[in-house]
Amino acid sequence: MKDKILAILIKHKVKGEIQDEFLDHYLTRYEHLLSNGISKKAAAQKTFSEINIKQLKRANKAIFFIHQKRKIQIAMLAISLFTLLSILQFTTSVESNPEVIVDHEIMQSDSIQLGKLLDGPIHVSSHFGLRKHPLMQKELLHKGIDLKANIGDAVYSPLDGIVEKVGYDQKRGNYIELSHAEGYTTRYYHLSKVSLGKNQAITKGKKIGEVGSSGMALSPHLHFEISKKETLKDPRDYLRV
Amino acid sequence: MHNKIRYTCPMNDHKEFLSGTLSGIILGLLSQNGRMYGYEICQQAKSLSANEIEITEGALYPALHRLEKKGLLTSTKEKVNGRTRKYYSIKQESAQLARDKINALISFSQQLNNILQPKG
Repeated sequence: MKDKILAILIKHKVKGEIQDEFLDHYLTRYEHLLSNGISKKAAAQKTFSEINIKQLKRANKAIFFIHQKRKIQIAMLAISLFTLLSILQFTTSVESNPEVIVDHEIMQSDSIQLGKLLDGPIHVSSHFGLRKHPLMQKELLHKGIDLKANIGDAVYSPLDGIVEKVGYDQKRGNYIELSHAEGYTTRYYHLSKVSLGKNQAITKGKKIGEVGSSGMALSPHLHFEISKKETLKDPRDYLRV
Repeated sequence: MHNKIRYTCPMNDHKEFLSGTLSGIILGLLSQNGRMYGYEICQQAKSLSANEIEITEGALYPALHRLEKKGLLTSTKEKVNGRTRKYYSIKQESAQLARDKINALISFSQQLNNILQPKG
């Protein structure tokens, strides 16, 4: 009897604790009928006839959702939060002045070799170039590249240079602009900490600040720009990404 | 002629009776009997109502799990005839809340009576 009921429950995917409960329910029913003087065969027949598969399945599903409800809610919340954050990070890292000449070509004559910007491997969260702003529905230029990092991660100068600008504004947050040989300029935005002053000479590999999310950035990342003689370059051509 | 009240899984014809009162019935029976297992609850409801109220397992177990999840009930397991039996009882910390729910249902049923069978 036990095996037969168990087989029905397993067949209809009733598992775990609820399987024990239903098994106990139907076996108790069977024993109850036997104790009323009904023959084994008749009791078994009656018990099986009372098992309503449709109800069993519905109850099984209902109980599953009672226990998984919170997990499902948390997963939904996480997904929507993640989507929201990625949209926001993308929109805030788009610069609003498109009147800049963009040079997409890789210059063969470019001989400079950038040193490391951040420790560890580089993760690009937003690339350089024109792209359609998802909210404003117009083409805007992203003047640099966004690199995913954690707050407090060290930012290093990839070249020898001189500090051209250090400052803070609402859009860029704490920012640094360095000028280098051959007319190169590099810029670093959204920093949490800046550890240098204007006109300071910087050597390649020196720590210049720390990653943050200051200015118009919701999640910590480094916005990095490079230009040559005031023409913006795609940082991908200089970084190993 | 009147129909039996059958507490089956929701989506049934009697769903208007089911909503709200099933958990009250469960709490009421548990407060009288201390601890009970599923089949026992069905049988008690049936016998106390002269076979008029029948709670099916499809409605009962989801309701029990819901009440346990809400923290009104607690459960223990025991081995009976080589199988596991789950006993439910009202959680001590929730005894007052359970009483309130039972009283609310009692007063509702009395008011329902007053409306449906007004005296003189």
